[in-house]
Amino acid sequence: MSNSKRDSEILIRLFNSFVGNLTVGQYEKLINGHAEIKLVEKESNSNDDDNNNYLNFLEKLNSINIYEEKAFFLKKHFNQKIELIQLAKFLGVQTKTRDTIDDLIKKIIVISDDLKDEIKYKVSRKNYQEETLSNLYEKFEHSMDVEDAKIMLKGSSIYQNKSELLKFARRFSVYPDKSSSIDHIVDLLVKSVVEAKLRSLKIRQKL
Amino acid sequence: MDIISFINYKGGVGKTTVTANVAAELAYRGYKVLVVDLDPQANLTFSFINIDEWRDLDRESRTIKHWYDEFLNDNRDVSLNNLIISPDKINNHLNAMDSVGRLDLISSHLELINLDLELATQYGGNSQRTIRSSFLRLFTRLKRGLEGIKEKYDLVLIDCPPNFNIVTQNAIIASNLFIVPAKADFLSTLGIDQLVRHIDGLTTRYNNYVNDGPGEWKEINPRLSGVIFTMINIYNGSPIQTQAGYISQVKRAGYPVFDSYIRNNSTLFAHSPEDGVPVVLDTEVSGLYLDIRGEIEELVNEFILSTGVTL
Repeated sequence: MSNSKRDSEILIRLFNSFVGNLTVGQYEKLINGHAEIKLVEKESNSNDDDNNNYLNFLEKLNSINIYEEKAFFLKKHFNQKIELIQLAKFLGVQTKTRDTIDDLIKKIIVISDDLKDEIKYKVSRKNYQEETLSNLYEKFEHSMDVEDAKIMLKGSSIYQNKSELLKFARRFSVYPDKSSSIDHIVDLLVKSVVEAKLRSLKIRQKL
Repeated sequence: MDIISFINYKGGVGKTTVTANVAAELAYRGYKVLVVDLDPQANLTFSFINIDEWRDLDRESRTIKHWYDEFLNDNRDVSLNNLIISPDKINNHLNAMDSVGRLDLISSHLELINLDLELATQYGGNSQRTIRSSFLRLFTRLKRGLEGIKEKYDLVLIDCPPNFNIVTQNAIIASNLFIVPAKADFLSTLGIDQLVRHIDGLTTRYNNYVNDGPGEWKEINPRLSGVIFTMINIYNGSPIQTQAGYISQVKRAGYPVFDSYIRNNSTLFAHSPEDGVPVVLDTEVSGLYLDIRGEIEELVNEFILSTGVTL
């Protein structure tokens, strides 16, 4: 029952906000059937971003020694109960609907402290991966040899992980089909980034 | 006075649409703008005047072709002043919008297409000195013509034909900046490279002649102000992935690229030349068309920053 009530509240808020953001003209067109509503899902990396943000936050939290200061730090950054629940879920903490903000804070602090070493390791691994990827991006973008560029990608960690390779390709505005093979994605990247640049320089007689 | 050429070898890339809209928006913002139509298709001309007005200009010998004819027939250096008209529709519209700017036009001619062969006969000689002299005289024709009217305008925008003949080279030599409107596809990216190569070659050749003897000639350095991508298809507020890929390739090749673009919209852009007022000054638009107008206004903001044109 309580869930149904909450769902209704969310739905009414959503509808209210939607109608509120329409102009009178747009509203009339919708009512008279001269316009339609279209749902467009945005592609985002929000999960990755959220996880990285949580890890960085927890590392800072663990660097604080006094419990009260930890609680203050948490409250400062997560002042909504729902935000604390999400952070708790990230840590794998069991929460209950009746948990108060203070209960959640206590649980998060305890488990975060227990997982201190793991969090530290994950943050350092993430930083290392980002740095490596950033170096690879830089080197690949400036590569002036097609074969070297291929070897560079094939020798990197992203060659083992299609999802990472697709993410890397997106940074160069290269959008291979998700069903493409890893080698095809590498070829497309080299063609779009290195070959295209060399061709341009050759036509301009700069090479 | 800045002189800026809009150029691309490829036809149908929206060159005239960009030129007309940028010129109109700049005039609205208070600039005194002269547009020069060098394309024999005369699309820019017919974006601002109708066929009867153009026929009157033709009868009065007031098109760019007639100006070159004077040079070919009688070896005369006449002023460009006589060719300049202030098209009524756009200027009345600017007045109605309380703008202090102005948009003037030098019209093209459908027979301009035959002019190049005749101009080519003017270039040559039997010694290095006469070749140099004929080259400099022929290729600076437009440059010298525009210098004669520089006090009247804040800037001149030249709509070049889709080729690199003598008239086009006249435009490049006259210009301190050039802009390349281009579609975001494979062949267009090649076209940009070829164009830049030829402009670099022309600049080198011209400057070599300048430095090869006496005279008042000065070196030129036409700079690419930027590539403006046209006919962009939008999905989720951004260019579709294929076009985004080619835009990135052009950026990585080291070219300056405008962040703003002209999106593909046949309905809106199809009829505006017939109205005599470019889309950017159309006050009757709403919805998507209003967004497109906003994008062109944004493009002009970037144009001003990129070119450094001042009132």
